[in-house]
Amino acid sequence: MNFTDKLIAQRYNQDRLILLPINPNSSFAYWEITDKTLEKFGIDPKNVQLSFKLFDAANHEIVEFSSSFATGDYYINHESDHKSLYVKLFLNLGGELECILCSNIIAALQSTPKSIRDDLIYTSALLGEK
Amino acid sequence: MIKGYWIPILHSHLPFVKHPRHEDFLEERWLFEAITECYIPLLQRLKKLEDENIEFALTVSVTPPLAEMLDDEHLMQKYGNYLQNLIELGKKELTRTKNSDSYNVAKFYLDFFTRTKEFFEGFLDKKILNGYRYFYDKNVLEIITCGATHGFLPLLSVNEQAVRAQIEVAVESHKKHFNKAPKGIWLPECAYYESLDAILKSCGIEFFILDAHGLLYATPAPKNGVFAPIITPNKVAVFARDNESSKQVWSSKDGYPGDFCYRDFYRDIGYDLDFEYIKDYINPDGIRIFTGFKYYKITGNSDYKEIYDPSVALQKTIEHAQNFHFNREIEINQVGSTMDRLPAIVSPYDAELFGHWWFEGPEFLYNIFKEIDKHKVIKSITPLQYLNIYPQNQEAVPHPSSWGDKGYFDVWLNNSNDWIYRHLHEMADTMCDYADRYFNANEHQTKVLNQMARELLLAQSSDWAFLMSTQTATEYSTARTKEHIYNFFKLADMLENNYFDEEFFAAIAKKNSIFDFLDFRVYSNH
Repeated sequence: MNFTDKLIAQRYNQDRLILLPINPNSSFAYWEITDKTLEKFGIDPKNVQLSFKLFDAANHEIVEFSSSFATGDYYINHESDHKSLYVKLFLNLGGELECILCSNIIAALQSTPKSIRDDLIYTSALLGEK
Repeated sequence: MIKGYWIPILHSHLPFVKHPRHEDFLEERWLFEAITECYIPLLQRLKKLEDENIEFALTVSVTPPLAEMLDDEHLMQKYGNYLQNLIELGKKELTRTKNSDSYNVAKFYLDFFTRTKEFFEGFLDKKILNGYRYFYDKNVLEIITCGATHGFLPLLSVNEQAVRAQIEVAVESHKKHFNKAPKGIWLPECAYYESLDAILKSCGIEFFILDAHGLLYATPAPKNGVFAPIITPNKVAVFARDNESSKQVWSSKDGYPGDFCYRDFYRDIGYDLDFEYIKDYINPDGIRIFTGFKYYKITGNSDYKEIYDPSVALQKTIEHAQNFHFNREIEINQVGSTMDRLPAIVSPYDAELFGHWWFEGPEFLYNIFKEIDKHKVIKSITPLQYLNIYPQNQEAVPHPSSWGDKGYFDVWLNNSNDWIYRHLHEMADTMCDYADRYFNANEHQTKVLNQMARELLLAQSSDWAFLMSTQTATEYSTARTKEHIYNFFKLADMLENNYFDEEFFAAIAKKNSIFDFLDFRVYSNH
């Protein structure tokens, strides 16, 4: 088999919602909802409407977004004054939002003054520059 | 009188790259170039310091994948050929440059590569790690570990066992290669997340290093800034980078390596000379590459370049070492007066910068140690030595951070590489599940499960995400990630469906042969 021809799965058939921190103002969520789960709620897997809400440690809703993909990802922009964050995934069932998945809880990253970073070059050209 | 301490730390790392089916593989050259221009020149300077009775102390991380490659018979045999090829080209260059301004530089390179070969075959006995072990055992070099495959731990921590395995396997690898457990760790990309210290502590790690903001924004704020370590709630010491000393060496604007006397990195005969002349010394596919023969100095900010003069460049490293020492003394005088102890200036750098990018870097390091030894105002020590002098340190919680661009996790999670995490997390969960389910696996199943663990660890290497992000070797890093994902799930399928693809297994076991000691049960909760 050719080195560059490896075929990998696009889905794992597992319900999953993961939240990852990027920086104090941005986090990344990815998810997969299986056809089986969607069918359980009487939803056509080809016609999906998902709603997401980002919460902080005190369960305050911070931001919401939506997707029409059962497998997808999203970059969430938010303010930096939260201690921890998590996401909930909802299905729209006849106008009512039904929470079907909750993500892991992440410790939110805290802001530092920009001046602490400078123009250093850190890495060798062996693998490119940071 | 000693007024303060300098803690130089070099992070030596390359991802595990081994392609036994190819005689000459482009990405394997990362290792060969680093050995020739960085690791051997550093070890040569340490030997010289020892021979001259100059006191020094240096901390170096030798990451597990690097140690595994440096200990790999196949790769070391290829390295011997690589070096021989350079010497052959060096001889050819003497003929080509005869009667030209470049002749003396050509002579310099032939001598450089010949001495490298002598050191490799003599003092090192063809094993680079022999050199590291030699100085480690003499307590002048503190070798620390890293993540098993340099996994970016904050983004793997969705599965805590995945992080624990990165550390536990790293400790085992260190014991295998250096005959003792590591006391310190260079966290991959200096990336820290809340509570990581608990895992480090349970694995016997006593200290780690962060970028400056990782410590300056600790809670509560450290009273000595970056000039003394803090201790985490789980009792692991944290040292942090001093911006000033880093900036002097590596500022892209006015750092030492940009001095016009130093060797220009980009002008290389691999690109400059006729294809017919150079074709046997570049990639077999005809792709032009750096050969290491670079005849020009930086000269200035334009494309105009003058011939490199190694003796002038070496003299410049003495001046820069003197300047570095002078400025550290000022820094120590300034901060020392406000502290209840002698300050420590921590200077962490990529080891591969010294020699590869900055060709004269190893000589600069040698000259700094000479300066320090001469003046006896600053003392070079290791983090552990500092902790022995000052065992009591302020307790604080480090600030989650990394040493990448913008200081957080952006480099390893962005549009170019976000697709990998879905797979890495699924693999880690599957591995943990299998480690429990097959805890009492038979010999044959164990072989498959151990290779699954290798594929998972190799996929987790932060280098792949980094290379995708910087758009350097993107095709290779993407292919490598996909390859390990594919291999992992094919092995899982073999196990679940009770079949064995012998040809497939033999090929990947030979290629992805990292960590022969690996036991998949490192992922088990039993």
